[in-house]
Amino acid sequence: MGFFEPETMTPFSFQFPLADFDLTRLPIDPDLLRGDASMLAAAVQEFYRESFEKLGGSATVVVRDGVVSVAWQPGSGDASAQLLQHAIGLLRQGNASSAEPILRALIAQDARNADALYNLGMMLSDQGRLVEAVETLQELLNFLPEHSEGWTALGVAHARLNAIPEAVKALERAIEIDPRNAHALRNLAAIHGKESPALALPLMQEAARLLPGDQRSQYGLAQCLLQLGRVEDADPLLVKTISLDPLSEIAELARTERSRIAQANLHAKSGGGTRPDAVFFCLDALQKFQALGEEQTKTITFEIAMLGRQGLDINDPSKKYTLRSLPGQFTGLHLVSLLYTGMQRIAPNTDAGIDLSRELAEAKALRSDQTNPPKN
Amino acid sequence: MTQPDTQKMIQLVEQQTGYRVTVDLISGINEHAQMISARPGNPVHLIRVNDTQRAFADYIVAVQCGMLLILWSDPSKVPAIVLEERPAADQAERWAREEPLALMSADLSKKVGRFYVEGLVKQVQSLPLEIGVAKLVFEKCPSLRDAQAESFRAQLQNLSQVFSPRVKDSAPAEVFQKNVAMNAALALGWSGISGDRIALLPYESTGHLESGKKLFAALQAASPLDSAAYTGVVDAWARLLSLDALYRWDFSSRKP
Repeated sequence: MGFFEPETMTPFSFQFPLADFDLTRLPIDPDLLRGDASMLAAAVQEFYRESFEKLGGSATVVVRDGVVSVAWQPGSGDASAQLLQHAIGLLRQGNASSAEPILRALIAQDARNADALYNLGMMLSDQGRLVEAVETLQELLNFLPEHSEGWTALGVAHARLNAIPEAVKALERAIEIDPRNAHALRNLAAIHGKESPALALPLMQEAARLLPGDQRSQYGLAQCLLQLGRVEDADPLLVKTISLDPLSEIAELARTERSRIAQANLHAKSGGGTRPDAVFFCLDALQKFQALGEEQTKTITFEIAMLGRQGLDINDPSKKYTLRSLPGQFTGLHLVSLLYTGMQRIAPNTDAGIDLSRELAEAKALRSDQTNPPKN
Repeated sequence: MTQPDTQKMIQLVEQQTGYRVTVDLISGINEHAQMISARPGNPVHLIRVNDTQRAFADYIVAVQCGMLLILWSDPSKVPAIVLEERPAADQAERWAREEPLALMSADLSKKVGRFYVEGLVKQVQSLPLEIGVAKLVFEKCPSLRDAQAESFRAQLQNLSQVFSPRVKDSAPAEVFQKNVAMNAALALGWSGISGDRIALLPYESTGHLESGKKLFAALQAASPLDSAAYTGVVDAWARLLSLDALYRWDFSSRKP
């Protein structure tokens, strides 16, 4: 049995100009820092000390003559791998300016560090530094031509540069290498979707199948189906899009799309005329709100409006909804009728998301007949 | 909401208060969110997230839920602060007579004096709660820690603008001292939670950290922070800052 020597940990170091440090990443007013050189140096030193403390080992940070020098002695393990993870963590936090010198230092140490090149390329693309992004990703693909995600990132960067043939070629290559590369499928579908939804559809279907929790894929598929006139197939995907992240901008687009569909369906089913069931529900709403008063009308309307943000199914005749502010069970159309009638009472200029003006007008006429019966 | 930790916070609020939580977007407000808390005639807590902040909605909702959990720890006695009109007006007039406000027109100096009174009362009411909620969210929502760090970075950066001569010289010295003491307590609170010491640098270098430490110690002494402890901390801070005559507590029952 022999002795074994502990693995020697090579210190990792990098330098960059202090002027390149993004002061907005610090919890101190950048103008205050610019006016106080010693506080600035202390803040930058503390920033890197804290960052590397989390990785273990020891770090020396020196700020001198406008240059930041960082030397890190890892406690254990693979320094490059730990630093790469650290840089990816910084990118996830949106701190590209701190990630960039680390990624570049990793590449300077090993020009074939594929993960560093890939993440740097993605970062540059997200920052809009598209020519640099394309160069970086091509460097990666020169020595690793089977890197499917690299081709995807290159395709996205080309698309952002509006170099569509190059983008299509790169994305097709990504899919050729890995037919299950959902991001490549989705991005290629998005390019084709503008001109040919039929061409985009199978790509987006596969992306949505592979990424069931990805809002963009679900919405992208819904859009393809809508463009092809397959409204009934698209609607459940719009519902899913909303449920995946109800407050996102994509959810808002899906809601708008659903309102448009609902509006079109509502009157199409009555041959373009008024919906008798909606007239009845509006009449019910008028009677209820008259009896309950303004405060309760507001409460009920507000609760339905909130519930409606998840999407109310107005084509399903089953009474599947309940409210806290009003007893009973309701269909989607009943709730929408209550909402519309309530909005007309309390905020008539607000868009209720659906137009039941003709139904409400008929209901008002009926109510007027009920309260003032014709004299014989 | 997409984060299970945020869903968990919503469930805790619904269990503790007996009211449903509803989240919506709103545009045209300055704050990150508005909250309309429930009452028997309005049976939902409505959290309205500023649509410009939708990327941080999960964190913002978790924070609002944290506030409800503390303020509604006893739904029969939910605290709200009310400005004491007479002492507030007197204090505003005193500051209106001090430089730099004394250099303004009489009408404007009174308005600015009033603005400072209301601002400091709002600050003494909100910052202890904010630190308490930050601790709660940090512990209960590990998935939101990046968003929380980002939020505090932005807030503390904004607060440190007070040291710029333009801002510092625009308020009476007493107002500046009270404001900075509370900001320092917030920086200490975040530093204690996150280990991040950078935010303390402006307070250390200007000698304001000590006054922040006194306030922070009063908060640390009241753990865990329920609604009774919270009002106690606000009162302790207000006494230390001589703001205690400017407000009173109003307690209401919000039981469903």
